[in-house]
Amino acid sequence: MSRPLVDSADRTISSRVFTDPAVHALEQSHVFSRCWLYVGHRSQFKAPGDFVQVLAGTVPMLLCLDDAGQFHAIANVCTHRGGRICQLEHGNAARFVCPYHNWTFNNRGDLIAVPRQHSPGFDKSRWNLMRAARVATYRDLIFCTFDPDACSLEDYLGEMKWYLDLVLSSSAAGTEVSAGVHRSIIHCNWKIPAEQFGSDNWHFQGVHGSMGRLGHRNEDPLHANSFHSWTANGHMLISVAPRREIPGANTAYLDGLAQQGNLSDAQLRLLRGSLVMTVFPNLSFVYFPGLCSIRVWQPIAADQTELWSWALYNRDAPEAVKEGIRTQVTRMFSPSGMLEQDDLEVWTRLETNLKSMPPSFRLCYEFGAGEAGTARPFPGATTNLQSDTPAFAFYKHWARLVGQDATP
Amino acid sequence: MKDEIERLLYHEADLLDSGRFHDWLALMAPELRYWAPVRAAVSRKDEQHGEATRLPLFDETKVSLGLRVSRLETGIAWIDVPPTRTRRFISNIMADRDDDGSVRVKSNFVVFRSRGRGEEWFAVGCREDRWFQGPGWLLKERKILLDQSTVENLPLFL
Repeated sequence: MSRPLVDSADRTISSRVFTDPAVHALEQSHVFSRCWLYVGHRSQFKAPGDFVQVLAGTVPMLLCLDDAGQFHAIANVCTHRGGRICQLEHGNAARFVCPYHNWTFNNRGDLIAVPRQHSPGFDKSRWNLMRAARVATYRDLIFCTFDPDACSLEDYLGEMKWYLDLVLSSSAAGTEVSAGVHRSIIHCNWKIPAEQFGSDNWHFQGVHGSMGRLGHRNEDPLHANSFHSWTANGHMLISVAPRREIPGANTAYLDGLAQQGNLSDAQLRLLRGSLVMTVFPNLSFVYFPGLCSIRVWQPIAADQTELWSWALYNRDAPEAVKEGIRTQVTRMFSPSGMLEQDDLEVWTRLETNLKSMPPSFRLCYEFGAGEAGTARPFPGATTNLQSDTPAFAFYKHWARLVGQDATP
Repeated sequence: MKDEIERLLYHEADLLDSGRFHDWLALMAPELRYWAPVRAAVSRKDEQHGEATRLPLFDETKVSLGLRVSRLETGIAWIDVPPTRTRRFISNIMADRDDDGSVRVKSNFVVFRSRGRGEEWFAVGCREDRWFQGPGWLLKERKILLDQSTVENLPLFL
């Protein structure tokens, strides 16, 4: 029998995990059809009838708000011949008319009209759009799942909620995403960035060495608040304390948030540093004081990912704070961003290399395997900032879902 | 004036394509606003609505552009190791003088980019500039309208 894609015996991962179209197909049916997937933010919806085009795995979907205030995630794919029933990225509509034969659906996905219908016994109710089994929200984030037996979203997020709350509920008013989204094509597998964002502080000195050399790295890796954490269901994050706090408009804003009492003291301390998180499978956040991006790594093909990202800020933050965050997100974490450019470049090289290697090629996730765990007063399992262990936990969870884990 | 503006834009393109970024920066006014809105697949009306507060694709000042140039000079900004080859084609130039003496210039661009041994792609769009004439020409404002709504890595000066 061939070796499993993810092998716990020697902590290696097959390069096929990142390159093989068969593995990509397998994870569509075993990962993206079973997990909770982030599809939108409440602030994108202002009125009943508002809709946004989204992707759930590879499936083109519409996330719609109906008259009763309920969200529906419905496939943007006509049940007749597969036509795209909605052409606009976002807008407001109570119904969608397929341009091919004018089959008409409401924003809950029901087939409500077929023009010139002359088919005795044709039962419209059998031809509603494919839809997510469930849609649920955590704070202002909207998720869907195709698995009717999935656990609740709250249980799915589990201990990760404590960290998500840092960026989602420091203000009682909640958050909003920027109007406008950055979309870019990355020529690599979606797991490469998902892994890095949740578990890899180590890459900064290599990939972003240019920014470090110019004095744009403010990290204290040995601080008690600098650690990796990972939780059940494959979620993971990086917390890094600053070497020194840089006073500015944002410091005063953070001071004000501390007074509101929505977060614990421990959470507020982490909010002074940086947080980079991945919610399994493909939702990530990057937060620095004065910068916050929420991003989805859309799995287009085994070797292609589309990154969709927004600036994220408190709904009641002053306009100057919001604008500052938009600017920092654009300058650092956008297709033109000084940090993101080098990530994209390195990830692309990595994918090209892995595609060129024999299928037996395996990658090392052994670093830090022998370290003794240090208890830290934070949720999840934790370790220091230079370890493959959190990333390997992500892949072990992935492997369990696709049936490729060797360990008992 | 049209000829002079045309020479100016061709000169600027030449500086960028030959990697003379400091000379290019010298064309920027201290109060430069250099930005690009993101594009979206919505109606023309919806796309123009709220453009200024939408998440931009570029949002730069002369200082932040300077940081980008310094970054390229470290030799470890991987997006430019080895340097990207670019070739820009500037056309459809229209120039009009404003009451305050500035010149509004609209131009189209095609930028061909080639990296490594075979990665090639294009950036296509138009620019709306405001240039001032002192001892030399200085760029005070540039709005870039890229025609791609989903972009590739975009480490370019446009």
